[in-house]
Amino acid sequence: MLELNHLSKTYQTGNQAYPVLKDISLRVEKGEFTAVMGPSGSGKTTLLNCVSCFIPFDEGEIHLGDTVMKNLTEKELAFVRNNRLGFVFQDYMLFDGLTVFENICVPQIIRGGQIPQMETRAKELCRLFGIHHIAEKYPVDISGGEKQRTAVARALMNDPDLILADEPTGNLDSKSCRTVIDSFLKAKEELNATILMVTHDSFAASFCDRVIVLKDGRIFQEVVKMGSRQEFFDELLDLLRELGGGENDGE
Amino acid sequence: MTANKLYAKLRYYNRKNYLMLFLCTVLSVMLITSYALIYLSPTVQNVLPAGGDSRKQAVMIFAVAIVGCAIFSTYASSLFLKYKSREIGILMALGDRKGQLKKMLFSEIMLVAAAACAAGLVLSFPLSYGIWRIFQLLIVDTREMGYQVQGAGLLFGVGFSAVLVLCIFLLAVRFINRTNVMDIIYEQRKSEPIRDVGKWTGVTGVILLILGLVLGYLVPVAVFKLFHFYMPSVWNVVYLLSAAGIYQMMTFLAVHSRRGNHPRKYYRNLISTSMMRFLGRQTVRNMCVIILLTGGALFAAFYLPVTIMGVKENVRNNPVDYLFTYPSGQIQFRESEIEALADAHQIKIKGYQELPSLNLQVDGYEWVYQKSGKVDMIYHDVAGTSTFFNAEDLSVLLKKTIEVKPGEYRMIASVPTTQADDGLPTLITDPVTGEQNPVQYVGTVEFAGRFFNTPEGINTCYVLSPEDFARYDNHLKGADRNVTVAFGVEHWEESYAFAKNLKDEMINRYPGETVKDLMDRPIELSPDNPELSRSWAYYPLFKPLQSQDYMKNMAVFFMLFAYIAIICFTAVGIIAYTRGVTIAVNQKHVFVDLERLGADSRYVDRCMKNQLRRIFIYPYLTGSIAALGFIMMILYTNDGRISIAEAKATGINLIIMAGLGVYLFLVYAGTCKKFRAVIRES
Repeated sequence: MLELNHLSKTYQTGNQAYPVLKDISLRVEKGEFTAVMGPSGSGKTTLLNCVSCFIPFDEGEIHLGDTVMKNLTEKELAFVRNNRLGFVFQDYMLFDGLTVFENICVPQIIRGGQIPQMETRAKELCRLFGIHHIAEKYPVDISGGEKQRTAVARALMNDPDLILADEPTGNLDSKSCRTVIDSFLKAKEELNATILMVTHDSFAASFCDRVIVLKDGRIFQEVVKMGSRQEFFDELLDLLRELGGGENDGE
Repeated sequence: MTANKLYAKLRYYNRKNYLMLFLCTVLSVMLITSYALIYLSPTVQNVLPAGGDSRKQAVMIFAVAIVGCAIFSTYASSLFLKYKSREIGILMALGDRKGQLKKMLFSEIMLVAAAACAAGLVLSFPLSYGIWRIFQLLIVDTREMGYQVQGAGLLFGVGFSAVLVLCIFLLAVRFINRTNVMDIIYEQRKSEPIRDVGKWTGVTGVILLILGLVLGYLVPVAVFKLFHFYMPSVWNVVYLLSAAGIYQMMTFLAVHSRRGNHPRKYYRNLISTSMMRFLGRQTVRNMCVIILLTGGALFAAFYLPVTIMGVKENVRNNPVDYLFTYPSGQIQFRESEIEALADAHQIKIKGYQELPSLNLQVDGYEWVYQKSGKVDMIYHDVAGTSTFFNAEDLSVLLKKTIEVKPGEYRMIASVPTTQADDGLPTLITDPVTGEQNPVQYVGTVEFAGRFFNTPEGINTCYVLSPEDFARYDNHLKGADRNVTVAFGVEHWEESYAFAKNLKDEMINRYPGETVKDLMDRPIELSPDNPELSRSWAYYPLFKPLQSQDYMKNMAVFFMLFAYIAIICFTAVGIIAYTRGVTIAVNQKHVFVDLERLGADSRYVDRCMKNQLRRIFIYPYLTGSIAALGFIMMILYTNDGRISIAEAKATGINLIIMAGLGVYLFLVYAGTCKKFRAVIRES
């Protein structure tokens, strides 16, 4: 589904070059829930921004299905973002002037899709993520967890190939964090969604199928969940301790 | 780096914002001062009669222009403070003292505003001179139209500058006195949301707007007609209904959206509507101000074509090219003398005619105004004097048979009417014998010209049967008789020199050094006195002079109204532009989010235009249509019809409206460009 080959990215400030991503290669399969972890400055968010084409990369290739994500025109880029990618951000990025239901509809509105199908799909997603009772409320009237579930529903509206989540639980308390993770799991199980999530939170990451740990712009380690979630969680904590991190344990 | 160096660097970085505040203030002071210089100049003051409607109107629209200028200047300063808020907020968050920042902000604002006011005052002189010269060159250049200014105009400008600086200063005080750092930082992203309103809001808005205008104008007219009662001036508060209606309409147009039966349209506009809603209050207030300025400026501008077309139509329809009336025996003019003068100017006179007329006493009602507003109408069998012509003479002059039987009379009017009015005479009294004879009104005689140099409705003339006329004429003498001389010339448009010569000769032959004006005040009797053409009843009515005088007076009006229009339209442009840019600044993050969700530049553009269109189009249309509708209502109620001249004037008004539309479109295009730049800048 997503394939990164020898991806490199360097920030240039004056004459000074700061390599952020160094020769990253990875694959995310269809229906997989993958997390990217790592200490601050390891390149997690840069990686996500490169995949979503928010920033350009220097070397390597990104394949999303059969699409090579390089040198896309503005129109092609907009098409990919609208139809093939879904985004969930740490600060939700919901439209304050729209209701929950309307916010979920936005990707379809941009696409110019058929209205009856759009409304049916939005209602389904509301039910799936348990936000149907707040569908007519505005973001200001709902909790952080509900906002993020709305964002997850919105990300799934156009049935994208890949959902990119940037610290989706970063602003949430543990209870809300759990409801959001449940939403991702539901998306994966019931809609066969593919999710790539950047997180600091080992509790959230322990629900994933696989965790890629970055350090200094390189893949430090890849951990695949083999046993129970608790075992996986412990394994991640050990790994992060080894890296000198382990913040936001969540549990 | 010292704090001062830091501030200087920040100032340099934000120099565009300082420049914008400076330029808006310069523009505002320059426009108001130059208008004051022109309006208060002796030339214009001479043209606008003291206490007259035209002077009142000029003052009224000047007030609208001052409000417009003050509004756009304070808007520019609030936008400046919005830009400044982030910088000040961060400095405060980093520990800079509020007192220090306050001092810096005040001194910066004072410096910019004072320099801008000084520049505006200085520049107002060349601007007013330039505009004056343009009018002189394009319209009329006479001795009367010389450029003269007096200190009063400059003083007015200084006063306006002082008030403006005070307004800007108060805004800055209010801004900096906020204690919360976050409030200051987020000033830039401050939102004032409005929730959606019901569909009835739009309907009630339109009803209230129309109701306010109709009640405000028509009810006093109807009440006076039916009950002879003047509505107290407090009645004017009903115009507030229109203001409330406008607010409701704009709220509805800005933020209303319902899925209803048009889901496609609803969803297409959903995002832009939600953005509008989020900044709703301020946007709606801006839209209302734009309506006020557009409506006010257009109402002022519409007045001109209506007057011009009316006078032009009357001059065109008037069958008599040259006409003057004088009290019998006051001057002697023989036909041969006029012909000799015409020959000297190579003018051919045709249809020369002398028409005697009689000043007879008539009955009527005296209007006694009570303090309560009630008007008591007291009947007197001798209420005043009116002028009567012989039907035979008038038939020759107007080249049509005028039938009036003994005991009857007709009224001479430019508009035919069959309805008798309460105020028409029913009894004529012979001023010599005191004999009273009842008379019956049998209709009007249509005549587009006038026999006296008085506004229509004053000195109304009537026609008697030849028998009745002869009966009174036998024994009336001197002051009770007039002579009207009327004739035509070939191509009257080319006979200005003759007309002027004859007018001067006529005034020179008139006895005495002063005459009484319409208000019974003495005025100097001299061919060079322009006041005579405006307020002496016996001033000759020669088409070439009428056109010329009229153009001269209109040139001044045109200049004043054009000025007001420039000021109001500038204010409208700046307010709409500022609002557009504010929306761009405040909603920038939303546009970024939209792009992240896959919106391409076309979609973003559509969202932007959808919002800007509401700010530009709805207020423009509402203001224009309300002004046009209001003036049409006045025209219709004046004489119960829309004349051809008024219909033509309406056509010109539509062209003025279209001109404003083109101007606003250009501002809209500029705003779109700036909007794109703001949301694209990183």
